[in-house]
Amino acid sequence: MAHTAQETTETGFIQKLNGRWHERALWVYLAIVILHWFEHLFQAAQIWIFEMPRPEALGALGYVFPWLVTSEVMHFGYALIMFAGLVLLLPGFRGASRSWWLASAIIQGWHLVEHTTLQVQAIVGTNLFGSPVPTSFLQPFVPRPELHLVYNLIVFIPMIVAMWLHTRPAQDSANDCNCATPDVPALVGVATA
Amino acid sequence: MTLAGTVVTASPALAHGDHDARPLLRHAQAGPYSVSLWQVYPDVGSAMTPHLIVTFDDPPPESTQVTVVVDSARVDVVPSMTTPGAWETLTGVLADDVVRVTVSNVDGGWEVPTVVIPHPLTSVLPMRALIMISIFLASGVAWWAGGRTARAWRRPLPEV
Repeated sequence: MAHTAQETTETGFIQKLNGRWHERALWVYLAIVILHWFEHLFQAAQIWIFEMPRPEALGALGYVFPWLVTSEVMHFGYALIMFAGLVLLLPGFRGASRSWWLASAIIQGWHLVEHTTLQVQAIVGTNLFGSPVPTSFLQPFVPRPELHLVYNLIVFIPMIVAMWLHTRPAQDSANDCNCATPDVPALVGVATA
Repeated sequence: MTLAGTVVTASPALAHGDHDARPLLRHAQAGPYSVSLWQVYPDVGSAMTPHLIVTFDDPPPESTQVTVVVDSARVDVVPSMTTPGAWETLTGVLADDVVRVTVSNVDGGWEVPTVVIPHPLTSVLPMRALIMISIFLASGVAWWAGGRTARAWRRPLPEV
């Protein structure tokens, strides 16, 4: 019985998350995504705009706490949170917005596989392709900063398209949440001549 | 500033590898040694020219020597300050250069298979343009999200 009660609670949480809590959860989640995105953009700017040597271009947080990058913890954590958010918030999306959100989740799923592999390499101490540092599967073809910048870009774009579609007022009747509900409720009255 | 100068003044950095260099040859056998060749990316800034790195899969004994010949001319090579058991050239190598590396110890010398430096991968992506577009996009989304987040907290949660 206790097991059943726990399942009911979990189901209730997911339902609330994709119902009355969806709007607030979505914007909190997007704030985390944007912070992660700026972290990558900061690193990219360090390399290609400020022309820092790549080993020293560790992003904003990595600049202050280099171990976050060298241990692979920071980007693995971000990738895990991003994927969890995409999966947990998916049921709240309807129609075309759901397809875009799902596309973002699938791409992020592969991105998470890459970061999990990097994290395992950092923990075990044995790296792919005989590299002296943890290495992504596609790194033999595209260097890591470029590769992960592109990964984040192709996750970010469908995510934003999905959020834009999901929050349009025209979507309100299809949603179980109030993400698309206009700020001021329409007045109902009878016009008199 | 010369590379030798920057090597001396540079702060401690990570070991060279896929994050800052492209592999030219992996796990090539040269006598008792397994050797990989790398080239630092050419767009990593003025502190690092696209020089060659020779890494050993297993740390070599101290008596091991590395010789590098680029287009039939011998170039200076020194033990790496950042990558244990690795050697680095003091001058850059360019696309289409023919590189021959020899590893030697008291027992003899062994040549690594000859490598012709390929054109860099990084030229494929217009990175500066991509970054500027991404910064513009992320800033616009942050502005939009800020307004919508404020609105979400301003109004009460919907009734069940």
